Amino acid sequence: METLQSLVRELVILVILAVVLELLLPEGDLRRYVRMVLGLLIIVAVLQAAVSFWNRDLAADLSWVTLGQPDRAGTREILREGERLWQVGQTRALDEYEEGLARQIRALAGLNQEVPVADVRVRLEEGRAVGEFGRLKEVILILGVQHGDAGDVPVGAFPAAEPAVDPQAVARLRGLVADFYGLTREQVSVRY
Amino acid sequence: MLRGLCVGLLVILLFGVPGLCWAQAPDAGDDLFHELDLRRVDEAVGVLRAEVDNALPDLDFKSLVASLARGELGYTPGNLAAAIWRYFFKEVLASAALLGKLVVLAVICAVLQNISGAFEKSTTSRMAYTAVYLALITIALGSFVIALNTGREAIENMVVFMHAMLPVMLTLLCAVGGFASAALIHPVIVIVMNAAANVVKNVVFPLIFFSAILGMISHLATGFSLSRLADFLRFVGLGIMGVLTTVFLGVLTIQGVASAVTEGIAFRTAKYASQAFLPIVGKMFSDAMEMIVGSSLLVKNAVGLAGLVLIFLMALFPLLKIIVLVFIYKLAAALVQPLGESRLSECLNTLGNSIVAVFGVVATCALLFFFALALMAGLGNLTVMLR
Repeated sequence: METLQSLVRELVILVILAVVLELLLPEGDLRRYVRMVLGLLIIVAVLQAAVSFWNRDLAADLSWVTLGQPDRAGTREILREGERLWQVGQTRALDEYEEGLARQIRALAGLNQEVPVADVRVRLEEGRAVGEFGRLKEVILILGVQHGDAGDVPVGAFPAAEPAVDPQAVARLRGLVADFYGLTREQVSVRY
Repeated sequence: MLRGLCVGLLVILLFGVPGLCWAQAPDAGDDLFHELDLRRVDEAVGVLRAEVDNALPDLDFKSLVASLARGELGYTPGNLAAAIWRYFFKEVLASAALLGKLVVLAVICAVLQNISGAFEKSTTSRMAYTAVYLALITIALGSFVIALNTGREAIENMVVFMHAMLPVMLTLLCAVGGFASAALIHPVIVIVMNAAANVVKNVVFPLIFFSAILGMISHLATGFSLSRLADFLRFVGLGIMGVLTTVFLGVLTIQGVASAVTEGIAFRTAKYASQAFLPIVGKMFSDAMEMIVGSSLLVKNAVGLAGLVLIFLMALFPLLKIIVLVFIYKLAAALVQPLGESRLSECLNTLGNSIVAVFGVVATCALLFFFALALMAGLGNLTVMLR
């Protein structure tokens, strides 16, 4: 741009010179000749600027275009923050899923009239591997009489004395839940 | 080609940014929104707030996002139109002194030109005419520099705002699972955005400025015109702008669509895996994930839309300032023409055209940033849609 700036400066000076000469010179052919000479000077100025522009190292001159480029740390920081938000979302999704699943198992267990299921807890796989994440690890059936919102009752808060339920009925319920969700019998436990 | 790209991007914008409603998952949306670090965006909006406080009071990014998420804009079209009109009128009044100066100097020039026969030597009046003409050029160039600086400042503010918005938008893009898109698009957007701003500030604006100088000076000497050279410089400047626009939109479109497709395929695989490997409950799990991603997408769209509104406002007010100057110069040229002084009228008209070029460059830059933001807003939708 410096070349162009100096070219414009020269052209402005030449035009002002032309005006001054026009004022000073008498009417006649001389004015036309002076105008032609000034025209030639303008051509020379333009050509000179073009040549000097041509001879420059354009690659070096264009380095300013790449000013303010991003650093990898910035991208990494964004990805890290995004990963954190993604994890927050996943945890939330897992909670929703866990709640829905517990509700579903409670409804399934409720079909069995022999064993009173007060609450159901599920444990899920939290490892991020494909096919593992969200896999059902364990189902805990909490037996007893349901007290209002069973979700608020912590495990182990029930009386230590086991209610009078048929162990075979409990085993059948465990089998039903295990078969329904593709689990082993050991993965379905019962607490009182 | 450029028109095609613009239409394509508009389609992405219109169909990619769905109607916003936080009602689907209010808690998830709220939680995610409060997790975001919006300090830099607030700082960038503070500059705009200082500029348009009288025209648009209570301009705040967070409340704008919240109102957009509720499906409201916060400003009615009537309010906005009234604010624009007030700002325009205020600027016209502020520039009235400039118009007065230009017209008075033009009248003096016309009088000197017409009474040249009354002097013993016409050289005296011509000399005086030249002096007054140069004074007029000086004043006009001063206001042209103001227009140029307004444009430069507007572009700088938009770049600062974009730099503040980029991390937020890309973080939200990651939150809907667009990690590859974010990793790919961040350096590309920063490179093309900075390059565009640098080229405009260091090449296009100086070319328009030089073109304006040559255009004005070419009317000074009769029969010694440089108007073609002035036109050439302006042509080069606007040509560079055209190439820049095409490259910018082309790179963004290709990059955006390509990364969204990659992401979409990756997610389709993950979704299939969760349904295939988790017996019975796989669908329930993928539905829960979809709900969370959906609420993140809504937040991202609300933030993106707020960004678009702010970019629009950031461009609007400087553009109004510039268009007022165009109005003043065109009006001055129209007023001067009946005085019989065609050179002066032409000079003022040329300057008006040069300011129109500045207006065009700033508007194009705003459009580029607008499209970049719209693309980022639409990218998450495309990723989720492809799942």
